[in-house]
Amino acid sequence: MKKILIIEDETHLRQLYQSEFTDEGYKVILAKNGFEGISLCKRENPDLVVVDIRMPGMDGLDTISQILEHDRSRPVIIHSAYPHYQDNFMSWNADAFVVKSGDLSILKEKVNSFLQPASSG
Amino acid sequence: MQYAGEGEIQANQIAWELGVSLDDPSSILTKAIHQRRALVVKNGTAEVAFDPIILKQLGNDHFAVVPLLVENNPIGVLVVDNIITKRPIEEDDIQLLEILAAQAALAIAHADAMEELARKVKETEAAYAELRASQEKLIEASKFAALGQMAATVAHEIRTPLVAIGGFVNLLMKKRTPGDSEYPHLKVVRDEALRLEDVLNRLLYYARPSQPQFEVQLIEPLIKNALALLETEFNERGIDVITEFAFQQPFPFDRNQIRQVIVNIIQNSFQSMEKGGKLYISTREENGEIIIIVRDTGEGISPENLSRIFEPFFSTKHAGTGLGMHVSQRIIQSHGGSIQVKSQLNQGAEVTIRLPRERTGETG
Repeated sequence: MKKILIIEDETHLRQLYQSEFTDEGYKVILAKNGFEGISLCKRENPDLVVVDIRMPGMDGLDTISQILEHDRSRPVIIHSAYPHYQDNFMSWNADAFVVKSGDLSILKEKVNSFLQPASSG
Repeated sequence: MQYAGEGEIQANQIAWELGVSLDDPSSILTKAIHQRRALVVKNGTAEVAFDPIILKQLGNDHFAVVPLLVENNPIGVLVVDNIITKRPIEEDDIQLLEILAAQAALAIAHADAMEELARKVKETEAAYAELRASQEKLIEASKFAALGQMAATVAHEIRTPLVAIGGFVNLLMKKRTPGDSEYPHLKVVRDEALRLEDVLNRLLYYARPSQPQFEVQLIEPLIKNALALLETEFNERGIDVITEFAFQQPFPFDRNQIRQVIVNIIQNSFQSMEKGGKLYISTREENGEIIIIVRDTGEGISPENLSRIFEPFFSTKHAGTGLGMHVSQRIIQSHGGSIQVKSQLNQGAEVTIRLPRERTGETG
């Protein structure tokens, strides 16, 4: 089973993603901030990372830089409520940028396109 | 009085004939101007030599020429003769004439200045009107900018809870079938949450348009997806959707942005067909451009509204943000394409989007 790490500071959204991506057939690891995300990334070695940008403490862009330092081959998807971060070159490190929406189909499509899971929800 | 009238005509005639060029140094008129002093002609001679033609023109060999000076700058000459009184022109007369000439010169200068002033006032008024117009535009622009900034802040604050609402309702819906009694209610919550998100997207794009993220992909699934969002509503209202996807190749565009444009246009069409109708959507390629046409049989757009359709905050709908078409145009333009709307009242509307098949030079 493919593992995805989701770094998101909003509790409700973490619950939502857990539920949706578990249904999609992934093992979901959740981190509530950048620091936790980096350490979980090292420990759990996920196949893909989904990261929010605006988070207290360390923002998503710094988090991505540190994650990529550790392993550049792992796909990273930015999932943000702020579409204009697409213009920030720091976000270009990521493999994809998805604007947050109640309709998770675009995010799921992106994740699936990188991981092509054996099972589908 | 009658005599004076005749005399006036005669004097005018003479003045007309007297016309000399300022470059003609032989005339006594130009001599008086250049020397800035009165010259008296007695018995056809004066203290300076001059062209005698003037004696014939005046029909008199006794007269005086006095320059009209304003701050020592000549603006004309006064020619005075004694044709009626035949009295010789004396030194006293010259002094009096010089005083009169000074007054006359001042009066003429004042009249000129008044004319100049009137012209300047007119110019100033025109400039002021122009200034006021551009100031109004500036105020309007800064109003939009402030509104845009506020919109961005509010939109960001609202988006996260909205994503949670939409997302969890989706989860609940997945656990039910369309036959369940709660299903339609959940669908209302989901659709309304998505509609709010759409409003936020438009506001955000307005506040801070982002560069398109080009990806080579197919347009057809995106349009079908947008149509699926409104499928139930189309059916309920009796709107037939007719599609013709003649263009089937992948080409570069920003999926989120183009989806936003397509959804916006389809929604406008839907709203214009309250009593049902037909919605045609087609794609084709022509001269290196992908042409997407959305045509409806709805209520159409009046010419005055059509001319303002791309203005920000212009809306004919009660609940509209007035940003849909404005943002759509900006998105299409940032893709290097164009968008056009053709419509007549009660005759439906047709939106044509043209997107380049290949990316041309611009950054993204």
